[in-house]
Amino acid sequence: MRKNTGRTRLMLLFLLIMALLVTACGAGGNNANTKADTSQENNQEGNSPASGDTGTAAGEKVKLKFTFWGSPQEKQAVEDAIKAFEAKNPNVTIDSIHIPGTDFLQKLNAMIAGNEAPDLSYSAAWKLKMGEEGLIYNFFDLMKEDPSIKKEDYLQYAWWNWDTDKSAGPYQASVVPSLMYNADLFKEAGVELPPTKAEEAWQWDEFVETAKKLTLDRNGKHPDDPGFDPKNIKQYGVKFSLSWLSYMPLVLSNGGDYLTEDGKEFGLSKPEATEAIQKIADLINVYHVAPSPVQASSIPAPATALQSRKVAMVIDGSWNHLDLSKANINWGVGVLPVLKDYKTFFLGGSLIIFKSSKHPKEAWEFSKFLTDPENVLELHQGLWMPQLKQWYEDPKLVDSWANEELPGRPAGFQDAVMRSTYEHAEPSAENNVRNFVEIDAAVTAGLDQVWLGTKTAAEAMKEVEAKVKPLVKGTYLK
Amino acid sequence: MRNRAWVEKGLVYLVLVAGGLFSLLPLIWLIRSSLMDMGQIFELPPIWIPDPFRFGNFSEALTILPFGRYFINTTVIVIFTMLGVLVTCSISAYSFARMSWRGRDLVFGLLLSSMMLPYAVTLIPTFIGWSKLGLTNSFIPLIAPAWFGGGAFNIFLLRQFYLSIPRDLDEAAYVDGASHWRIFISIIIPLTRPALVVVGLFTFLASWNDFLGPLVYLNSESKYTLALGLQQFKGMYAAEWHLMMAAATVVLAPAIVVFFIGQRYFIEGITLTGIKA
Amino acid sequence: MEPVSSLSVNRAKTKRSSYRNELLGILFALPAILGLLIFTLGPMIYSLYMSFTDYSGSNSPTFIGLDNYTRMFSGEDQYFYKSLGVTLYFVVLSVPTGIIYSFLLAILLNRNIKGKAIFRTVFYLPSIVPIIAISFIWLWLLNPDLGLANEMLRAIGLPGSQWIFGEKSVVPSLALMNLWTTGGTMIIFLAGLQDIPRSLYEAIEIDGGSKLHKLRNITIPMMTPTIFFNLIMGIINGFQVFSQAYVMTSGGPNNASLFYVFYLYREAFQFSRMGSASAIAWVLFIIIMLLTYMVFKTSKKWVYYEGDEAR
Repeated sequence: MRKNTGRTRLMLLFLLIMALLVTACGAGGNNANTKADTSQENNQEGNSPASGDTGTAAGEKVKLKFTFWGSPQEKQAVEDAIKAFEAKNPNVTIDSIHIPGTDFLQKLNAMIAGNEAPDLSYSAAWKLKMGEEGLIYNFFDLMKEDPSIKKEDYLQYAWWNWDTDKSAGPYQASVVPSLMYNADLFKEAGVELPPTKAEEAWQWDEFVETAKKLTLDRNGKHPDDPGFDPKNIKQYGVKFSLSWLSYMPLVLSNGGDYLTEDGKEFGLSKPEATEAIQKIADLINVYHVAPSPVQASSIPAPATALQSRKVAMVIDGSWNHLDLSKANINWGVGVLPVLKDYKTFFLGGSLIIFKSSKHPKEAWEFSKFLTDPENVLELHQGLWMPQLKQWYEDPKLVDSWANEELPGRPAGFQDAVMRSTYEHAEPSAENNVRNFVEIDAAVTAGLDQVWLGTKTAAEAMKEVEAKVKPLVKGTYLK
Repeated sequence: MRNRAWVEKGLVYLVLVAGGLFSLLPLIWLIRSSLMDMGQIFELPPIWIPDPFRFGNFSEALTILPFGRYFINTTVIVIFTMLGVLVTCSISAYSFARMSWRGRDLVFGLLLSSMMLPYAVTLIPTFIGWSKLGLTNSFIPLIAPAWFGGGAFNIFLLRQFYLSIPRDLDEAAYVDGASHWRIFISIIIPLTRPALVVVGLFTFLASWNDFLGPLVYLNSESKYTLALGLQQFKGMYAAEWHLMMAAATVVLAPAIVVFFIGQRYFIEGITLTGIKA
Repeated sequence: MEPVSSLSVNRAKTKRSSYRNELLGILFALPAILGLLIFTLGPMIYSLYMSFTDYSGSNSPTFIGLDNYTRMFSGEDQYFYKSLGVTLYFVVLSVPTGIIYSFLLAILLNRNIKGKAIFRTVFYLPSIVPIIAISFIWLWLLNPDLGLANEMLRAIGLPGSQWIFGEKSVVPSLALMNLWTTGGTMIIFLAGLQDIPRSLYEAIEIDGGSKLHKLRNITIPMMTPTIFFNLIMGIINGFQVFSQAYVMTSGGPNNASLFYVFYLYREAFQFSRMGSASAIAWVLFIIIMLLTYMVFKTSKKWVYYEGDEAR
């Protein structure tokens, strides 16, 4: 028995030492972080005794719970904006809770179920269901009492409505599908850079040809060269993000849409749409200029992928401009390739205010603050784009966020991203199509097979059509 | 005859070595990759020994996300869970092994059958219960169950140990007027210390490795455990394999260390559950 | 009279003290009893009730009878049969392979072998790796382009697989991963093997029986209780596979790894349909109970209990 006791003690000692060591190592790099956290906690403690429970009278301390997602950079920028808001409104403290995007909805649901819903939150398409269930404020009601907010100031389709007169708010900022590229790779291949004007957009065949020239296998061969090895591609010509964000512009360009024009039928199974989707799949399986989902899984996020020369062009969300501006790389933006007309869209989330909030007034003020590009200008110079018309029309305002001298705004940005979208904007499927979340889940599953080349777009979408039939219930915006 | 024996022996070793490689290769692959840069990782044929060793991956991976905080969170949960299990489970197991009361066998039977209940059944109601108490997004839902008997499996395990202690010992003490509590503290506990170590180790691992619990109960990033941090890491740095492997190694290391410290106890513990089942 | 009264006093005393003892016993077991009530029985009843309601977690539950169940079984919820099929496939693949593989290793290890302890440790090691780390490792090993698995297949001239990216190969891939973590099962088998009395083998040796003979006539029959135990636990655990799919495949491609618990998790925590998720959980419970019952039923035919005759 003695022996055993000794051993157990020894083990405990060992464990303790290990724990200390690991803590020391882990904490080493995070000193700054820990400090920030403590100071925040101190703040909260300092305020909590004073923060009353019901009153929202001016001067009284109010604490708002705000949940949001985003990359480390976005997190930083949002926290800076919060500080600016708190400086302006000394009676309000924002308790910001950063929740990683992948689990966001689940965590938010958990908070709601526990009667701990935040006062306001970032939100994606699931917010409409919350609107229907009466969990969040109708933005139109709130807007009526605040003359500073006018519906017509916003981009036409920037609204998240769950009924004709009920809204979860306008985009808090917008983003667009964007073609980004590594200019060095174009130079090395001797290929002309992508056009930046919508009128000059590449026709699909031109796009494919360019992508071929930018695709290299392990031996430096292009897809049309004899002996090209599609199994060992070192550099892909283009990478599509393979979500609706990337394929919808092409579908729209070809005259298709998510639903048919009358909104009564599933549109992606119609020939105009399947043709466009098939063209993207062919990039992968026929021309070998784009990675399949399998291959894409070993390609890093767009900025890193372009920088590490894994791909020459990326078609993905414009939020990547921020990362690109921080990566040490000679990058640029072009207009999207087309099949027929140039068509694209803005998309974005909105800030929702929960009915359970005890301080809806302050929440409204904060949501206005965060939604006003002026207050988060830094974010609008790379990560986001404004959602107010004026910011696209007033040259002075345009210059403040889209000046091509800014690191997040490369040469040609105003034509290739700003104007091309502003002038050719359709509604985005996400906030236009009813039951989008459920329909998209089925579509995404069906498209897996198309990208993998086991089914044609027409076949796969036909199957999806049958599945989503009961879900197709028209549109909200157009 | 001799030859045949040799061939047979060779075959046995061949299968064992193959199985051993199957078990070890993934772990070796993990560790070697955590010490390489992006270029080396993908080299073909694979390199097995990093050159140079890039310990920088660890500091890079650990600074991207607040892993220090995750580590502290995980440690707090693990320690309080272990304490809860050890205290309440040993007491309960004593009752099932040494005391007689009406309904004891029924309760024990229920406990045993609860081991077969899919956790999915109790997950949702328990979650709703905690959330109505406003205790989600805290460590309490993860720790509290440990303080209520510490799980049927552990009670079962300890009871088995207690039953293997000769009854004469505590009966003698009982006749001498010692209370159950005294017997428990001064006879049973000292005699079953190895068993407690087994239970402690199992609990450590289960709690350290738990993924679903924290996933369901912890909301804000500042409360995340290592497992959740790692999952988050995957979403952000997919395809940056060297960093992912470095982060995974950091989460894995404590489990391996604890395993090697208590190896003997582990094997003993599992052995005991198996035979008497 | 004297002796009688003393006896009755004694009896009263014992009664009182046994009453006290009873209370004390319950008191000692109280944590476990409360735990059983609070964390098992209570939730079970609550869950059963919820399964008959429409409940989002934040609204007040409304009673809707069997609607949640009919929605599942009628196929209106297209994921129910899909996830059930996927999960059954996983159980059918992973449970037998896991048992055979670990049984084989245990038999080999039970011989007179050098480095027995090392092998035992090596085989057991993977089962202590956190599931999230397991997923990371295999996510990469099984990467069709860059993973070690395909690299090795190609080296010996075999075509690679799509592994977790292929609709057909994703479940077998996860079953293979499962095989990697069966160290615990192996150790239980090993313990069982060591419990078989030498004398039984000696009897066969005297009769000149071969090793195969020993395996068939002694080892396997004597091990049936352990196999039975591992089979039941394997089925129960197999039906509840979740984390791998959550981390590695998100249920894809095309829902080919949408395991039952993942489906349940999505219903509860992403779609906030607690009532329907409770119904899903109860169906799982009943399926597992039925299967276990069936295994128990057949066990009389193939499980050999030592001392059965004696009883």
